[in-house]
Amino acid sequence: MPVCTRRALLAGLGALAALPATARPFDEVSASGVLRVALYADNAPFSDLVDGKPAGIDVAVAEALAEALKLKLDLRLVDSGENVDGDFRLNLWRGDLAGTPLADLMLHVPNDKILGTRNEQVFLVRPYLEQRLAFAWRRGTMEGLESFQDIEGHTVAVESASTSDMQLLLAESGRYRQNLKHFRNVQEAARAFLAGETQILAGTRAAIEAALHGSKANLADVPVVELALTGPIRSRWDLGGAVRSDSRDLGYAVGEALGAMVETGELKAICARYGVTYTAPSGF
Amino acid sequence: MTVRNRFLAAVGAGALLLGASNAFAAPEAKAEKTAGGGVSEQDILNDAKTTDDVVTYGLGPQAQRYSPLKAINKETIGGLVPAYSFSFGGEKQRGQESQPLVKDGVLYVTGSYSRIYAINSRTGEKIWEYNARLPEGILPCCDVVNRGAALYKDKVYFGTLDAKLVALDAKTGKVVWRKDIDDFKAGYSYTAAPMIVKGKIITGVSGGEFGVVGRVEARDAETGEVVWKRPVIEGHVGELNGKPSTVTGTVNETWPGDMWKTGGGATWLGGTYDPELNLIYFGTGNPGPWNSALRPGDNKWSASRLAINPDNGEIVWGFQTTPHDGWDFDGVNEFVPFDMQRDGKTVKAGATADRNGFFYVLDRTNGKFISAMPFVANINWAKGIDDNGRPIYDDANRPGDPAKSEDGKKGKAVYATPGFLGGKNWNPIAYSPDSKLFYVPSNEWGMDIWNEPVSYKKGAAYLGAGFTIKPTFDTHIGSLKAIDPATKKVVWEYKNKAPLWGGMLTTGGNLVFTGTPEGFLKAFDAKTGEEVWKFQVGTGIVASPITWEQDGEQWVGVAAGWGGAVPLWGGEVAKSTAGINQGGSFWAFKLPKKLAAR
Repeated sequence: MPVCTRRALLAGLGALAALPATARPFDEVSASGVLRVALYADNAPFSDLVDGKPAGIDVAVAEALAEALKLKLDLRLVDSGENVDGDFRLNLWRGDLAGTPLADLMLHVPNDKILGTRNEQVFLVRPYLEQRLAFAWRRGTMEGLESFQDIEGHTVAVESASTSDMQLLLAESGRYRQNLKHFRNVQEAARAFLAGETQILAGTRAAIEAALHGSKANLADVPVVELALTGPIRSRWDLGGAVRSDSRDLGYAVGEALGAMVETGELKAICARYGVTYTAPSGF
Repeated sequence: MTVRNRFLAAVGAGALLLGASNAFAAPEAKAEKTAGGGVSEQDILNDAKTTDDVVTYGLGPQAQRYSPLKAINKETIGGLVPAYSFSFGGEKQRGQESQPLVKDGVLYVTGSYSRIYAINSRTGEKIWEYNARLPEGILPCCDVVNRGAALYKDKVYFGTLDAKLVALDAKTGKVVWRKDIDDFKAGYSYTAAPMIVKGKIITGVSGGEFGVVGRVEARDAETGEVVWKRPVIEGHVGELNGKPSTVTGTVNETWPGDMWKTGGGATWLGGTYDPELNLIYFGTGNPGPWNSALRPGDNKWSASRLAINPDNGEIVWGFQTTPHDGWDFDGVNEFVPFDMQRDGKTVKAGATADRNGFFYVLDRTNGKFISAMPFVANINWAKGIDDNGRPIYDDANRPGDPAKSEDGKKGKAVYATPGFLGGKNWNPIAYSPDSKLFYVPSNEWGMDIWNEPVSYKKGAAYLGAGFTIKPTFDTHIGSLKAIDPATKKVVWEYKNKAPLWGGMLTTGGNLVFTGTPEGFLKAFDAKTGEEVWKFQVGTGIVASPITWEQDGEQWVGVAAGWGGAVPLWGGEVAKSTAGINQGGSFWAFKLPKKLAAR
């Protein structure tokens, strides 16, 4: 909340200077021939700039979706705001200060009933994958990583303010706080881990696997594990899409296309290109 | 404008090029005649005493917001009439928090959405306008406001929502240089008025999220090149003349692990300066992450006041108003130097009305605690302030440790007063050396705050906070208080239905001016609090008024335009501000000579 509160304030912001173009129902999207998709910038392995071009799992999903819907993809990478609720506002239903046109669709949206209920301006599209928190550890530097207690005596590289960070900061009343080394993003954390600066790397399974996949590490030396922990921070959640609430029909069409990609194994194949184990969301 | 120019300005597009240059020539030429060498170092240092100009944010580097002008007083104020109203134009009306500056017949006022205008201070005619082009994807915190500009030599400076500092030619509004204060994409912004100290332009950083570390920076005002940087969180290394300087504090003295690296402490409100001691005073924001259970320790120097040497950026002293903050009590509120008489001696003091609801008096030479008093009702996060200036916490009213809340559950809500918008927010206090009172625009409210488990950031689960702000009283939220810093007494109080969000001004005419969200610019008797004048500007006032003298007459000016943080909050608070209309303008008032003589 702290400094963040002031950003959250924008939630209630009234009249904006320039009215952005509105998000559109499916027939309008079809008529225009273009699907405008907003993805998070700096969110590897899902969406990131690689050599100046958008790349990642969500980028590939957006491309496949546009193809399935016979539309041209207009992809934009957007910075994440204070929270997902704010991102909906900026990208789907109200727009930013500069009057950037709204997107028709956001991907990488947590499929959570409460989140959907409190954002009546958007409609959540069915989930397409499950995120899980995980750890990588290096053989030879510790005996194993089977429970949180095994962290004792070791250091963990983690992205600042990430879900994993919150979980570790809170675990057992902060017992492991001193063991954490914070980095700007998972990639930097992974580099430090791979360089031997820490014995453990924490993050989402997808981010960890992609970082290891992209390195020269022998994967047998750096097992990826998931640890059970109770507490206020959830360790798995489903990701889906979101459209504006007056564009439900677009949401259904996207949901169908996503469902087909799960069933045909296309999503699994996309993830595999990044070294990521695909986990289907519950319900598939 | 002459009749001829007026005609030219009105002709069609074909003649516009020719016409425009002529139309703007008249006021500019007038400015040129009297402009001389612009604003000197001496003009800045003497600003509190010179009544024919206002060249600093705060009417002097100490920011006492006191003018010795006395033509307008309780007896004459009935004759104070509007002279002109200048519209900020277009659709960008909301959120006018700017304090204008006046020099040599030109008034400089910033508008929301990173705009600045130079207008003829006598007639209200526009001389030039600069409209910063804001990038796509900008996510400014704290609304679209700007709090004012700085003048030095031939330039006028202001910061923009995309975290840039812009130097403009004061005569033409043309850009001389433009520098990044920081990367707006990382959540940085800039809304404060910059400050000029000894040829340097001093800024902090605005906004940002967890991960941003606050710092104070000095640049060469001529070139915009950085002279020094001072990060305010312990463990970070400063910079002087392009080389690393000293470490702020001692690593891990008051922070666990490496959490100081992303410790917060945004310095988003700007500072004050005491030329006598050669010290800059800056407030620092709250620490991150928001839940205090995650970062045991005092978390220095978050939620603090720092005294910094303007020559090298070294911290001379620090005083932490809210160690280990858990309520979002930003420590950014201004520290105002003043001389206090105590036991027959003059104490070099300074005062600040903190978000946390306590009014502090410190020794401004060394930061030693002198006294503190609550300035809003029902404070419950602390039982009081001890003899060393440290809060006596009430742990029952600290937001809970999320580790102790059940899986997926909301967690225990606590009700804490003040709410996170503070006993006083950004809007500046004033001090009158005549009445020896501080005038504090306070707000009476508290908040329910809890750990919110259903929170997501960048598509990932997150530890969020839920909060609801609630008025303390049924009758009012806003409360303007006159505080005697020597006796720790509230001498008078004016209650306002809506929260007070505008700054204060006090004068030698024994008056206190401030604006209300209800749209009134009001004047009060500085000693008794009696309301002696009001004028409705048609929209809420959330800016700081100024006064100056020209052509032998005393003028008062204020920007109007409802906005800022308050209207962004719903619930009970919204009831007090329902129905306030948008607007965006600068209003000038004057007391005509013949009335002054009556």
